[in-house]
Amino acid sequence: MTEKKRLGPPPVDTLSDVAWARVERNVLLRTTGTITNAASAREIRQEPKRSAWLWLAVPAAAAAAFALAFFSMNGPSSSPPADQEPSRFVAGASPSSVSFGDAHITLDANSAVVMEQKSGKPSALLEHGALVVAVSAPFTVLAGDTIVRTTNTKVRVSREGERAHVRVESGSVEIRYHGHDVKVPASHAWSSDRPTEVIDQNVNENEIQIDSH
Amino acid sequence: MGPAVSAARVHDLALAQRASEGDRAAQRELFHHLKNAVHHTLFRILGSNRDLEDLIQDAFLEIFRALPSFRGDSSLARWSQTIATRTAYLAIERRKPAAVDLELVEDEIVDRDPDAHRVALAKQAAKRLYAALDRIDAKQRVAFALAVMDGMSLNEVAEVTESSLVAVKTRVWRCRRELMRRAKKDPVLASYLVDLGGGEA
Repeated sequence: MTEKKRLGPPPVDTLSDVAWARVERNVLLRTTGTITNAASAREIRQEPKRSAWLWLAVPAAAAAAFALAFFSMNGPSSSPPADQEPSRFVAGASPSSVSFGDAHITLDANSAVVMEQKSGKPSALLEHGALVVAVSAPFTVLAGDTIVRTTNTKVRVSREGERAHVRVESGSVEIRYHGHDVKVPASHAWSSDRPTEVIDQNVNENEIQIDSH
Repeated sequence: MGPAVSAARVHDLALAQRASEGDRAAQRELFHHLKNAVHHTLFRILGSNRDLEDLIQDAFLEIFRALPSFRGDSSLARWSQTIATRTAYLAIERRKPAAVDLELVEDEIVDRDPDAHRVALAKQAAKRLYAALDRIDAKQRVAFALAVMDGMSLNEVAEVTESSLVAVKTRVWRCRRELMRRAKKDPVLASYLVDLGGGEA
């Protein structure tokens, strides 16, 4: 058999971005704080599935019954926030809009985002591209190493690889990047290229042309 | 150890330390640094992406748990492959071989592009190989997959399987012998083993 005709091992099939995002999120969630927590999380996870579910199901059912009774007495406005499975949205050649809870999100063309709600906390993982989110309740946008926490805000977040840029149109946002927190008010911008700086868009228009890099 | 290797080890050690101390950015950086090595190793040993999300997660939780013990004797990537190999081994031990009639799952190869055609043929042949490996001792299978499918040297296989070189040689040889025995009834598998260099006596 000649070298050209050799089959060799097949290529390694890739995992989708959304699968990787799911794995990363689960791993990092289970590795909260210190590494010892990761070990205990793993031990919990390795319990046989059926018995683990049984142990979880009993208190969960009790909690659900209690919550149902509690919230039915307090009217619909107090209804508990439901979890939502991750949903991936991809914009093609033109921008696309989507509503998620009370958040209205506009995706730039050729952008992708994974949105989910856990324990009542909605979040969007920006895989690539850019989005504008207008939201009144707390909402988190993850873009690589950048975490943008928003409340009552209209903000634009863009991502290129691990670089992220944030431009606040109204309200204000809190940004966490590599362990440092920065507050960015309305009409200001922030970039992971210069993570300690908050740029006033009214003062220096040239500085905020960050999305066009 | 050259200066570049040495600098890489210093970086690996610093990253491992920051991640083990709970630095979120370091944990994320470590995840992205190692994810391909972990996925590649698991895929080569197990042969498909079936259940791989869970196994990658298991491997990473073990990596994070074991980070304080990382001493920089090898690169982080190689060290993570050792853990991924152990994860794959445990997964093989846990799961039963799938009762699949290969004739029923054969993909139809219609692509006229020679490269695509070759890849499709390789995938079909690999399916048969992994089906055969499912019925072989887990340690032998792991050694064979790493040495023959992934092309690691026997020394490297010994390192990631935490075994002696002699043990690895024996496992690869026994696995190859068993595969060739099974391949007597399966000409596609026999031809693929020869093609991979895994069919030599």
